[in-house]
Amino acid sequence: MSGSNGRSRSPRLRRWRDRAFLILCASIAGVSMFVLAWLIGEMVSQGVAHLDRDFLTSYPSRRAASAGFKSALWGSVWLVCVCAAVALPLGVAAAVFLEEFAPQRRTWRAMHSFAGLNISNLAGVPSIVYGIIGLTVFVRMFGLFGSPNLSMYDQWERVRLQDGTHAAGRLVEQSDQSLVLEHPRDGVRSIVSAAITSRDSIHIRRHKLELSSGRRLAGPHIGRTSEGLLELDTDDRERVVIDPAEVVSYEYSRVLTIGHPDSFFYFRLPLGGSVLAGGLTLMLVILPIIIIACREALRAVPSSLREGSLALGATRWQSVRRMVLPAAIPGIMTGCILAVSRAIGEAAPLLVVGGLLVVFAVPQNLMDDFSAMPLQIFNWAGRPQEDFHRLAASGILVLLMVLVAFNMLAIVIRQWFHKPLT
Amino acid sequence: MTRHAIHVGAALVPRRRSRARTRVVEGLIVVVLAGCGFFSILVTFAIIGVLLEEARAFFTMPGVSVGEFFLTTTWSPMLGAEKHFGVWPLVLGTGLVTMVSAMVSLPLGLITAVFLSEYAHPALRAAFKPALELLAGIPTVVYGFFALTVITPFLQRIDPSVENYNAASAGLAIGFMCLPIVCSLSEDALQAVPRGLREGAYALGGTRFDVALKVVVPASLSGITAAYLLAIARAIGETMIVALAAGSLAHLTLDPRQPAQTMTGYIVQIFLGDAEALGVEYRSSYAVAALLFILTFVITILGNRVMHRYREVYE
Amino acid sequence: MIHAPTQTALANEGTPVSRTGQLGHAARHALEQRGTEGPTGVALIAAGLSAWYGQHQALADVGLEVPERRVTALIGPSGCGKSTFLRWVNRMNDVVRTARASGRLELFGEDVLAPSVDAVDLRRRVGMVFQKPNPFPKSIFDNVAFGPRLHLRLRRGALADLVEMSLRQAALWDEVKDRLHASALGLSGGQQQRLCIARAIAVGPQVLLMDEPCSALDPQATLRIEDLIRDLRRQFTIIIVTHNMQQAARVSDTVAFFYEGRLIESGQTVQVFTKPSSARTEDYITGRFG
Repeated sequence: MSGSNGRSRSPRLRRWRDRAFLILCASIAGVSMFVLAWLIGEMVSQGVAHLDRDFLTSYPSRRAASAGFKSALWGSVWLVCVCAAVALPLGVAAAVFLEEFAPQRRTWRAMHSFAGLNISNLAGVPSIVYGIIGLTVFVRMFGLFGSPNLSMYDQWERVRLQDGTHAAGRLVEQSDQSLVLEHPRDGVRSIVSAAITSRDSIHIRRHKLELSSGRRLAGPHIGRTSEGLLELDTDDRERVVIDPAEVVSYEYSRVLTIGHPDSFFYFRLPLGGSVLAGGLTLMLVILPIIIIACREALRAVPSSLREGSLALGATRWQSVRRMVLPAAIPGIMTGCILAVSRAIGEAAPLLVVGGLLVVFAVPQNLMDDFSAMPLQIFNWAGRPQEDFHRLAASGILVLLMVLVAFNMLAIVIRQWFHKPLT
Repeated sequence: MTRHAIHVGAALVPRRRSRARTRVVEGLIVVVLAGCGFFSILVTFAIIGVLLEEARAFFTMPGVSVGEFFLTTTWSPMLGAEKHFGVWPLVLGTGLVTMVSAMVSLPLGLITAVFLSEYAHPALRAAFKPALELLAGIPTVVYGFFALTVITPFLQRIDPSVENYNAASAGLAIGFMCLPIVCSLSEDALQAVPRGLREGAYALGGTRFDVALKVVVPASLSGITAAYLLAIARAIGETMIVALAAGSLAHLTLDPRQPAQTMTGYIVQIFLGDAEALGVEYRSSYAVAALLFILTFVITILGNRVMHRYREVYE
Repeated sequence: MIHAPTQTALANEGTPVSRTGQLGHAARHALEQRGTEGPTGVALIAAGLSAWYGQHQALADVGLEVPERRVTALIGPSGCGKSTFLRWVNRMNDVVRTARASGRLELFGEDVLAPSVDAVDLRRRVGMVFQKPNPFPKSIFDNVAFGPRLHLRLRRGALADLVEMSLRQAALWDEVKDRLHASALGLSGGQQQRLCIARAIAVGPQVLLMDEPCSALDPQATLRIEDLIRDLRRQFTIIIVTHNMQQAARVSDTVAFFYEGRLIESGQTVQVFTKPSSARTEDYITGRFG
């Protein structure tokens, strides 16, 4: 018979190979579990120490022992609220349109399918690119409101003279004999090179500064002290020493404001580095995720429901609103919760949009500056001191607990709604 | 009976006299929904527009040329007066980190998917899935911190020549982050293979190994390719992990023990720093971002197309 | 081709001739050809075989003898357990988690149900062809060569010969000999099924199981495969599950009638179709139900 032409492969060997492969597969699958456990274990061991009520209710500080997570936590809350308020309706509406309202005419149909395809591609865009878009569109608003008064001079020379005075300004001209500096307040000044005892160059920005305490200052900032603090020469000829961490915002040259910065109902154009801008940028990041998840949820609704409703004479929207959407709600909710939990963990776009790494206040209104949990963690993690690493670990634990809570919520919803459907 | 039918119908159908108004309302609603639906197209155009415009602004600055950007190999925008803008160190840095991550996520992800799809008991699968979702949901800052404070010391114990900021730790962390993506997409592809094929292979005397590796995996190759492409696109765009663990030294190196600045790492560095909004270093980050976007967009489009094609075959 | 039960059947109860009158011409012809070969050994013995899927009992106390190198047809209405029986012969039910069986099922003297049996090796000796043709998305050559590559170590020339021989036996060689490396998915339904048959016989099994192999095919293809089955029985013991009685009559030497998990009657096809000993068998054959 045909089988007798060659030597048989040993069935025992094949059985061993099968079993060995099973063990290999299982152990590799176990690797992911192991890494997860290792990661969580490390975070817990490093971070548990700092995790107490004080941590959650105090602001960050330069001293690790008293540093807290409050501003980051509440900043995240504000951001997520803004982001969800915009992304959820927009995303669900878009998903409903893409799934339920496929147009009949050729041209519209091409656009329709392109829109759907586009969503999957947008889901793969790196979040930092969304940050850049958010910066241009939401923060700077295409420059319609002027550009931030960041730099009128890019590099200043600062010289110390023999008679003990300082001079500083933009370098206009330089030769072996002299130096010409231009200072916005003191004017143009020519300095003999021989009189210079020391010289360095600094980057200068002209700010209208707002401190976290609410105090406002304006003037060219001259430089940093040896401890790394800022020295500001104000327009009133005052020299003020400021902790850079307390500096809160830039102002733009043309600004439209409604209301007072201290009240809840303050609105300002351009949005600048505000919670609103940050939330809108996050909305861009999670919008494709929401749309994809909602489309899946809508697709899972059996078409017999739609057809039955249409057959009774209901319009498409009525069918959707009364039959399809209610049936798809659990899937939609789960998708939205997971998308929002993704937003909580995003840091890169916020860095670009102007989430400050260190902030000493909880946002009071939509235009306030903000921090976020991932940003604070990033800040602490990036510092060399061990203490700050432990703080970062504590922050991570808080972040993970929030995320686990969200995931649990999604699972509970999935379970709770499962029964009525089946 | 007709009265009952009218009642039921009336629940869904408006009364006669407001039908015209309903039509108008319905039309408006469709327009609103369409607006939301087409918003994403607007977003895409916004991304392309903004990046192109800013990149153009960068390339028209004095001292910068497109040729230098793409053809030279030194990237030193911060070094005072002499600035070089050859982008290859950043691209190579991204490539190195992505390669390390691919070496972790692609094989491990596929084998985990094979295990879950072909070998595992349904109860085990049900337990695994949420754990994988959890892995996928961990924010990237956490992975970055883990890479910096745990993986790097661990690697340094094995090989003391590994530096404090290195591409390997970042690559490994990104690999673990992408593993769930590869696993879940590959598993979908494996599950899509019809049961009849498996039965045919078992009936011919195949072991689970034979069936999995000689029939199921080859039959789902395009789905697996799509998974790989999408994971690579994700790895290329990853920012926080490299910002924390990979360092900010932009040089040409293929040595994973050394620091390597990626495109995303550079963008973060600029935006964290003190560079002026109109300065050339600041603008260079936009050019890098444009390149990054093009790269990931192309790979994502490819991956989605491959996935579309394999879905058509089996559905 | 079956005529509806006419008054003839009702009026002529007990008359054998009128019952064969219910079957088509070809079936009758085939039946009349039977009984011309000598006796053979027994390939498969089932005794007290019961099988369950979870709580649901699919087979109850089945006892059957399947002769060697003959075609045995398992017939019966849907859900009667004939496919379940078939799948236990090559332990295909191992892939179904909730399936279990008790009793004896001996293939050439060896108990198939014993836990010590290597299912992989068993399936080398027992081949299977499925209802829906399931060629692998590989070339025609690779499909047929799949089995031999698993079990044997062959040189390339020997493998090519083996593939050719299997395709010839499956009556497919002439149609595909020029495109052995083309994808198997490009073949028609009937060709794909013959490919699956070639694939199954390539490893040289002793028994060939066929689970409604023609139900997804058009009548032309069906007839070709039935011819093929008649040829193949010279080499293989064939057990075929079919819900088509004409087919059973045309193709099989022995027939076993299952009903609700029990074996109602089995024996020579001629015998069962002309003089069934059970009333239920008769009802099924004459089309009163099923």
